[in-house]
This record gives sequence, C-alpha cells and structure tokens, in this order.
Amino acid sequence: MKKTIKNPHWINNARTVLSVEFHYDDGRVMSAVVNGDDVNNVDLKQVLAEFTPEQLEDNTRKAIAKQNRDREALFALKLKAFEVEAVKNTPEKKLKSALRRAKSDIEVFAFASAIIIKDFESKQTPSDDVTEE
Amino acid sequence: MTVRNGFLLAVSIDPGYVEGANFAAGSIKDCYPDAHITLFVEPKLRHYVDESCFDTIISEDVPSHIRTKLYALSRTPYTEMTCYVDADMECVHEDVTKIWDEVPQDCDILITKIRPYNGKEHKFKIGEMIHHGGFFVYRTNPQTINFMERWWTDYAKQRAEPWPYEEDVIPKSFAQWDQFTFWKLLNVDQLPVNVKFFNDDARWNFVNGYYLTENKDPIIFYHHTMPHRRAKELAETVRP
Repeated sequence: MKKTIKNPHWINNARTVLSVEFHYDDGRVMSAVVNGDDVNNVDLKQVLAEFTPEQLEDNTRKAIAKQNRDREALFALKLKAFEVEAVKNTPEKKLKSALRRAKSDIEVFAFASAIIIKDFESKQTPSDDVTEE
Repeated sequence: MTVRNGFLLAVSIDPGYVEGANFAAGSIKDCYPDAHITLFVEPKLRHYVDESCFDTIISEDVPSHIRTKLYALSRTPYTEMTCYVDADMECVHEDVTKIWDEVPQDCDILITKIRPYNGKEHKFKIGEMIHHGGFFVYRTNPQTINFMERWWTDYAKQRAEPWPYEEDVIPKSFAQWDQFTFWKLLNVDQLPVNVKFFNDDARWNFVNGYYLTENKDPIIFYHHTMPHRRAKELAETVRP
C-alpha cells in the first residue's frame, strides 16, 4: 500500500536517528523511527528522496520548539497543581515527588488527585461514614 | 552546625517566585536527597514557603528587591561551596550529586555561558556579557565573598545613579542587567576571582529555547520561563 512520509526530523544530536510519520492511503497514520545510517533501509531512501537536508533541519527546529512549548506548559501545570493547599501541604512525600517528576498532563492530574483524595480521607471523621437507614 | 556545601535560592516581590523556589528545591531533593538547601525570602512572602523543601529559611532583613539573589550570595551559610539556583529551575537528573566535584581547585566561580541566539542584547562596543547569572557555584573564600558583596552594592548603584557610560559605548539599557555588573567587576574593576565554565555547561543550565544539540550528556537542570500571568495573579493577593 502506498504511503506518504510527513514531518521527518532528527531526534538525536548526532543526527543519526529520524522520527517519521507514515500516512497510508486507507487513512492510517503510524509513527516510526528510522536509522539514518542504514543506507539500505527503504524508508530512509524514501525520506532522502523526498526531503532535502535543509527541510530535515527545519522540521527538527520546529519539533524542538514544540518540545519546548510542551515542556513549559507541563511546568506551568505542575506549578498550578502545587498552588492547591492540600497538595502543597501534604505529608505524602513520595506522591509529591511523583507529581514533580510527572511526564505528562495525565500524570500531573493523577498524582494531584491522589494527594487531594488522601487529604480528603484524612479529614473524614467516623461519623461521616455512617449512613442513615 | 556548619555545612560545607549547599544550594541557595532567593526570592522576593512575587509569591509566584516562592512557589517556583519550592518546586526547584523539591526537585533537587528528589534527585539528591542529602542536598542542603537554603532559601532567602522577604518576610511578607514567608507564609508561601513549603518548609519541607528547605533546610534553612532566612527572612530577617531580606529586602524586597528585584535582585534579592545578589543580597543573599555573600550571606551564604555554607563554609566551602554554594550553588546558586534561580527560582524557575527544575532539577531532573541524579548527576546533580556530582556538582561539587565539578569545581576545579583553582576556580572561584563555576558558571555557564549565555547563548547569544537565545537571549537579549549581550554585545557592546568594548565587551560582551557571556556569563549566565541564573546558575553557578562559588567558593566561600575572601575574594569571592568580596566579589559577591560588590555585585550587590554595585548593581544597586547601577540602577540608582546616573549612567556613567556613553550610550554608544555601553547602552543605558544594560543598567537593568546584573550580568553587566558581573562583567564590570571582572573587566573594569578587575576583581581577583577565577571564573570558569562548567564542562558540558548546557546540561547544568539548559535554558528554555536552547538547541537540542547544546548538551552532550543528559540535562541536569532545566531553566524554565516563569509563567508571568500566573505570577501577576498571585501577586494581587498580597497587595494591601
């Protein structure tokens, strides 16, 4: 099946590994990593036939810029999570550390939620669990 | 109790920076649990501090000033070496534990380089600002502590007094930069301190916007950009 290559860019400083997107005719899109040293690799041959070195560098610059934007957005989200009193003041050191080291928005929300739930539970009195018949 | 080596952060004016400092210090402890960390914070922001992130918190007499860091540097509690860390940094790698071994015996200040493509105007007719003031290690010896005292007093003068240089030689816009004071102390006043750069310096202070190619080994500290709008919103809450 015919595939179109989009957004190839280098993902290491030595410029030996490419990240590419394969767009197939049936609508599927797959991400792949291509070894830039393997001159017999058909995918690499297609990339080099369709993209100039300048285009690869330009794509790489854009990918890095996006990575920077994503990293700053994640940092801002973590700071926002730490504004919540229950998060800032939690005695749960391991959860707090996990929140600081979160790698994605989902992890930030998950660890912040875990801390807030623990805080909520710690403030419950026994009578809160009694349900009326 | 005296502590030989430790990290120093300093914040004032804006509660957003205190929260950044909490995060930065916590991230250092995550990677280096035995690290000793000191915070200088102006008294009115003291209640924003997360005490679990710091070993020493100093508020008494700390001024509310745009460069509280310069006030704090010469007042370090550490007897041998201090690592100054900006409040918008994040430690992400355990190699931070090796930081004290990075400093050569004959070096007073170990610092990172400014990348011209990622900063503001840095060159002028008679010189160039090349030292990044956001992250460095310095020794607690007389010449370096004197340098740090002068950095604080001369920066304050630089902002308060009429600009003494011709505009075409050194632009007046440099008056706001503490990096310029650093340059002046080294090149005009020629204070006797030995300043060197970290090996693979970008991994120690990887500033937002740096090229991916700047560091060889994994990044140890990211230098973020503090989200300003958020900082401003927080500042509103402490106005009288």
